[in-house]
Amino acid sequence: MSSSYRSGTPGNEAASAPVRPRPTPTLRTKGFWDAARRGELAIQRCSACQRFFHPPAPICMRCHGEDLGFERVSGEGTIHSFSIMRGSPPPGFESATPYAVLAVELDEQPGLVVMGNLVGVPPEFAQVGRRVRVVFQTLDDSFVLPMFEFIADESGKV
Amino acid sequence: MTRGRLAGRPVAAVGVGFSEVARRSNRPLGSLAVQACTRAVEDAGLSVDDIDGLSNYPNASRMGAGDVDGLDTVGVNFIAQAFNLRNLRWSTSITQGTVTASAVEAVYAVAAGACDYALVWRGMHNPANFGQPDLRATGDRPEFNYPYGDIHNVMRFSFPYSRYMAKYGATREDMATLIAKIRLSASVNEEAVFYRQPITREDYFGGKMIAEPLSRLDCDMPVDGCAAVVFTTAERARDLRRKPAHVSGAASLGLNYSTTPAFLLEEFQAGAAQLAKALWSSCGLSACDIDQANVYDGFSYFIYLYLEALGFCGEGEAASILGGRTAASDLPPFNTNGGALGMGRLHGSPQMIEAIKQIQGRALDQVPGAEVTLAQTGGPTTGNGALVFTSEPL
Ligand SMILES: [Zn+2]
Repeated sequence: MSSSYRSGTPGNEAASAPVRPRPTPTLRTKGFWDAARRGELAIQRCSACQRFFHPPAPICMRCHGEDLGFERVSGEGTIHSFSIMRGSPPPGFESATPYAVLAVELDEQPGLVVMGNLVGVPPEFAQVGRRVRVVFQTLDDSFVLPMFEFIADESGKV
Repeated sequence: MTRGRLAGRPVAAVGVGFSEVARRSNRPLGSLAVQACTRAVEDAGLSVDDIDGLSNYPNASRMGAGDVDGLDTVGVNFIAQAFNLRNLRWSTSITQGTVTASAVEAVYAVAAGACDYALVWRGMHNPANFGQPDLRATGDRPEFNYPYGDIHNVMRFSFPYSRYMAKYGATREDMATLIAKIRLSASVNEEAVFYRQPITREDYFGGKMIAEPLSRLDCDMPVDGCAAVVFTTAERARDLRRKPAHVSGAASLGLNYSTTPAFLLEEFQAGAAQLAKALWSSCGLSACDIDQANVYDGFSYFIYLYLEALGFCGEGEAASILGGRTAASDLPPFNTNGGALGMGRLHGSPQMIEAIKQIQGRALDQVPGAEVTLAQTGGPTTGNGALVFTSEPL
């Protein structure tokens, strides 16, 4: 079993886990990270026209509304595209390589994409079009990151 | 379609020059820029005192770069000082679009009469310590991407390619065929960083995988080097040393219409299509008029996206055509000098200079009777530009 598989298992990261840069939430982005800490995936949404934005936008880019809050979403989506780091890991990720990063298109809106590592299966299982759902991973300093795992098909297979 | 025409005075490219290009040079970048600019001005049969306009895209070539003008980058201030250009009447620095977009600015300035002889260049620096990002995860992209190890540019740009492959059935076998062909072109080009270094399809498969699906051989090789081009009015060009390459079409775009944490294939395709539409409407031409094309190849699959968007083939068809699985219908010779994948990461300068040389009849792999050529550079949603050159004014 590869180290990325181990370190990718939901829950607390193992000792061999990557040294991940920590987000520095701002007033605009805080709602996303606060929700993750509660175990929820929440995306910025315009209260006037209901459009979702990620990353959070300064104003609604469709109706120019300024009333933007965070709303919990299903956390389910489809792999829009992906990349597997192999030969040139960034600093801190050497022990976790190879690892897959997913661009997940959430069910709530076409083109609404959230990033996350693929956890629970080896990185080479990543495939465009595969169904995934959010899981939450707690880092050693208690920061919580949304990740994605495969949704089992009808037979229960992932 | 109504034949478009660029407004103002007709403009032509009259001189080009590359500096020496190396993976790592021990010469300061400013010195390479002086060399490239001097060569371009002399190539045109001009003197540097004739230069009265400067246009540049000065951005540092890689993440983690410094910002010393003349060492890490080469901007308008450095060139103005180094050549003591006291006759300048106009200068600009653009923030996105690479060298072709800065050339478009120069063309507009000459057309409008803001200057008569505009110099455009692109200097790229590649010291060993470049490429290390600031890992503080602040700002949108770092905040939502860096915690997942999505940090380096190669990974960032691999997302649209994984979707392209899945959506259209493109394979690494297709790309191996294209890369081997490009490296063959570069192998006979003395100005290329990969001069005398052809590779086989097997070499491509054996190349180091960086961020799947992009391997090292899908990326242009970072280099130390510079390239430069001089533009003037078509009228002045008549009396100069070289045959003028008339600028008949121009467009500068590459905007991002949808802020997402990953580059999306469909947004890239839309960005490329918007540039193509603006370019063709600026000259009233289309893909079937082009005798030789030069499209941007900072990452290998950009070639697919731009050939498709510009109308040289249909959406999703480029991989199978270039991979030899489907017969090419109207594909003209393209990137005949090896492009950036073969010549080195000079941000589209290889494309622009080859398009000019093909019109002038002095390209290494000259397309017989080339009368209409195209140069396009830049990322689909990160700033791009394009020019159409013709042997006669349209
Ligand atoms: Zn709205």
